[in-house]
Amino acid sequence: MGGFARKAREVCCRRGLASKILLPALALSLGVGTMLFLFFSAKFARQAEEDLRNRLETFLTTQAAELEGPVWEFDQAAIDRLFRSYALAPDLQTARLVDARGQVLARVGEAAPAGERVFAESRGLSRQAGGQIYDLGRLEVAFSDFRLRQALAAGRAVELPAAVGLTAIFVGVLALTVHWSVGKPLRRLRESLERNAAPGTRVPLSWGSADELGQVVAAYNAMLAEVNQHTGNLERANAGLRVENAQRRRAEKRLALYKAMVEATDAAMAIADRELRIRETNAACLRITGFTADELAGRQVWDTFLAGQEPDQIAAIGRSLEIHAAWSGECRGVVREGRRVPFRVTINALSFDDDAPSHHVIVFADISEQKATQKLLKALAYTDSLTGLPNRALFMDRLEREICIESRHGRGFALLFIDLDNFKWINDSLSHAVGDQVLGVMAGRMQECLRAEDTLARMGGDEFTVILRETAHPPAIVRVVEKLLARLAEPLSIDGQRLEVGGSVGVALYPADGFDSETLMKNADTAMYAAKADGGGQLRFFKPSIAEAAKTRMELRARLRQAVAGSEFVLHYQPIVDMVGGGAVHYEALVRWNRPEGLVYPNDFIPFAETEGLVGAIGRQVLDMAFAQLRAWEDDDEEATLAVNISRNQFLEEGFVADLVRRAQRHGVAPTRMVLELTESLIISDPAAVRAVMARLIDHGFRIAVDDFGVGYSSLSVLLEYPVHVVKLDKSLVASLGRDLRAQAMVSGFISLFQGIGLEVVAEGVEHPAQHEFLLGAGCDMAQGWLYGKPLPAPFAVAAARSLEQRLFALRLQDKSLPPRQ
Amino acid sequence: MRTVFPACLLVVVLLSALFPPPLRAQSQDPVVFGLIATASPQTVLAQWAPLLADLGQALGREVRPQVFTDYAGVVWAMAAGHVHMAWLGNKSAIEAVDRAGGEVALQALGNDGQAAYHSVLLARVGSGIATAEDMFARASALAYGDGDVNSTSGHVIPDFYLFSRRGLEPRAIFRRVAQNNHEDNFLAVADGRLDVATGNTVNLARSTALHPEAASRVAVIWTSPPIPGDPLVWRADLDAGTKASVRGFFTGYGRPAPGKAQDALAREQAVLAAMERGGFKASDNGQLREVRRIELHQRRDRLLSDLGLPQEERLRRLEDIDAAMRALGGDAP
Repeated sequence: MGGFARKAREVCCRRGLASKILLPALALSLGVGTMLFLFFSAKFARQAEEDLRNRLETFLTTQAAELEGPVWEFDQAAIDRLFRSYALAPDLQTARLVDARGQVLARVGEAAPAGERVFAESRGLSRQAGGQIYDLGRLEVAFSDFRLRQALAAGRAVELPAAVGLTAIFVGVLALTVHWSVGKPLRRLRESLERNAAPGTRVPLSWGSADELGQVVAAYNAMLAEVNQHTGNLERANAGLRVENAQRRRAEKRLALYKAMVEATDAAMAIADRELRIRETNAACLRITGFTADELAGRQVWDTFLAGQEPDQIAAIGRSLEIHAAWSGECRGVVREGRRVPFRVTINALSFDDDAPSHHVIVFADISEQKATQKLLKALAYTDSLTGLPNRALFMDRLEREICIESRHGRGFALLFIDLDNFKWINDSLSHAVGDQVLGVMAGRMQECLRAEDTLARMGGDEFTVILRETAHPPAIVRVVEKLLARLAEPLSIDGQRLEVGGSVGVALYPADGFDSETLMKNADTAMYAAKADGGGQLRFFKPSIAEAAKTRMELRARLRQAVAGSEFVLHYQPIVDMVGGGAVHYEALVRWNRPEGLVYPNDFIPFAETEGLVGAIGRQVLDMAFAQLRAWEDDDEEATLAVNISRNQFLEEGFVADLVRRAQRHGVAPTRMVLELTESLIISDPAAVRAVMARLIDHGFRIAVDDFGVGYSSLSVLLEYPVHVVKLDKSLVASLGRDLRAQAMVSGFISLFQGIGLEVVAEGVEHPAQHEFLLGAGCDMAQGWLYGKPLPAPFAVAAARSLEQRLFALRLQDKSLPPRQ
Repeated sequence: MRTVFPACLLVVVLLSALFPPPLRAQSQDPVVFGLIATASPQTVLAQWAPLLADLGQALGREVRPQVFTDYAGVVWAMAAGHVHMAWLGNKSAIEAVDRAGGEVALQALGNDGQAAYHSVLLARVGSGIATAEDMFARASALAYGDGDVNSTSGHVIPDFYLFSRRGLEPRAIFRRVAQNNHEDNFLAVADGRLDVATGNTVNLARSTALHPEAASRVAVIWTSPPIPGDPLVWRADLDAGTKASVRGFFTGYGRPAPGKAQDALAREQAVLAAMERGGFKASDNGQLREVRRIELHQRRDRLLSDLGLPQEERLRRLEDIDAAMRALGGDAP
């Protein structure tokens, strides 16, 4: 608002100055120009009029003289000639010749239109003859000013714009001159004044002209220099003061900050004199020591919170202060109520102005908590937080120590490696919280079974280790361990859930199974794995063979992975014959690991593959091979179906059904030609999930067979409740046929029972013709076994099956020659 | 010519100083008789002086001759009343009748007694110009001597018959055109100053008589149809007695009359012979009809050949001329 007003005022002033100079000059020039223009216009007009009159006079005179002769001589023709020539006279409006009697002898032109000025003159014609002067008549001539006015108008048409133009140029030049010589310099001067009015650099105005403005500027510049000098002095003085002020303020601020900091800090601080008599204390100091400021003031530290120091200590501190002007260390302090407290103390000697130290700054802190924490940390480092048992570090330490001890005493000791069975399942299927509780319970149970001198430790997860001191005698060990295993196997209840957890124990003896802790641990671990491999809940002593087996397992694992990656698996096909119709109608695909050393059978690698998580990949390869074979058979018009074993993991794998269907489609094989063999245990392991997968498989047209019926639960309800098509009687049942009549009754009962509920029955492991006979008699649908053919690669299997048909045919002929059996 | 003109002026001035012009002719006042200088004024005056002296005697009044060097002067003087009667040509008589209140009273007769005479075109003998056609053929190289514009035989007749009928203008075709009286023209042709010049039979006879040597070098190359003899014009307001006396004097001059002495008669006839005249007979304005018609025709011809004239003006003038012709009656000459 103020700026705007100022700006407006400036503009006004600037306009005002320009106006003051320009307006009178312009008005004057315009007035003079107009007057001059009018004056000269009028003058020219008068001049032109005068000229016209003169021309008229001349014309009149000349023509009167010309006409005198013809009029005298009555020469009308000549008069006419002359008058006709008047048409060429530019200014002539009318001309008339009248004789003495008033008769018009000749005329030319027409009367001027109204409004035009006409200059008319007349001249008498006379002649002197014979002493007489004769009046011949009168010539009357009128000139029009038309041409004159035209010329004047034309002149004005040029002169007026010229005059206006000249005026404009004059005005422009005048305005520019005023602008350049007055307006602009003044503006520069004003801008310089404004610039220099603000504090900061005062720049003198450089000026070219030496006119009045130049003199003003010179004076102005001189004044600027003067002002600059004074301002400079003032500014320097001011700057000094400002710096000083700022420093003081900073110092005060810092002092306040330091004070606040000192009061706020948790570190106790005290300022003492050179004899360590206390002068000042901070809040933390009073808080920690419990003394009041008055109680401390003036007393030596050795009489107050550092009372009760050894004289040696006091002397040592004094020496350090003398030499290093500082001391730092832990001191036993004392608080007002008399409790002793550990302090970390730092004392610095202070000297001012290079004198001998006059003050001491004592900073100290109560480090009792720190000490306690250190203690706790130490404990934590060697304890398992979950069970409270020693942890691996402590156990290893104890183990080392035990080795040291026993290497001298020679009594030996046992190292147990315990792994809980089923714990992984609990942790995964229930929860970690349950798992943690289980661990706690198990740790307690184990502790109960051990002597106090024995060390039980948790190594991590569900692994525990024990040092049985001075016990290297296996029967004694077995006693202890069996008690332990029994205790572990006892059911336990967590959150109302009844759980059964066992343990597997591996034992390594010192010094028999190793001289160092590492070997002992490894061997105990190996033994434990052997126990676990044997089904759990067992004790194993370390033997070199166990180590060997472990090594073998390691190798097998690696090789199996290679086999999966390199598709080293092949399928062999065992025919399943139709007992009634004869001939191989089905084949069971059996996987073989085709190693260079020889074929490996599924029992030797499938369980291992299951634990290693490779069974899924193997299963997919098997399925691909099976589908490919079906495809090949179909191309050869071999109408066989194929049964494939599906492992539990594979079956419950997510996307199993979709994957299977996709593979069938890829190979162009109808799902109805594929029978999926599942074990009974698979079906009952997760009934709901299995039922869902089964339903989807059947929807797609696959057929389901229950494999190995007759071992395990042999639950009939499975066969009733689940949508299976085929049941395969285990070879153990078939094998028992020859020995046991009850077995025969059971098998024939099964067969009729299953057929009664619409299932097809396949007998496995038929090896003898007698078994064949019996099964045929019992009405069994199909059979497989060495009697009909061993598992062989596809071409051989088919060929063998053909010859089998002939054999069976012969067999039947043979049967017919025999009397019918009972 | 150079000596003649100032002398003529001197005479005129002297005469006019001696006789202030009377507004009205009174019986006791002298009668002023205007003469045209068809030859030099002295010659003309010398020719006319005996006759006019006789006229004065007959009238009982002084008759004062006044010689005018141009035809218009006589007309203007008559119009002003300075001259009471004058001897004129046909053309100037027309002007006098029309403008000066004149009236044709008498007609001069040739010395053969005929009232008619002829315009002639004169050329130097041996100049190779023997006919008017020769003249036109070489016109651009010739100097032409014209007469006074108001002279009938010197200008009007040759102009009519030779030029306007052919649509020609002398000033346009000749190398040079001069304007002289008859005698000067005659002498100029004889001297070779002019190649061709106008004249008339009466004046040619007189000049031949005066300058026989010059006459031998001049040949007539063209002769016009007859022209009525020169008229004597008086002011119409002249009192009837005087008119009768004047007419009686002239018609009887040079003719026997009862009571006229033989010697008087012989002297009169001698005066007439000096004038190359046979006598006079009474006449009137009708005498001028012929020349008026010629002049009208001439004006008509000029008008028609004048291309610069606006059409309505031309029609108006033609109408005037035709009206004047109808008023004259009769046919074109």
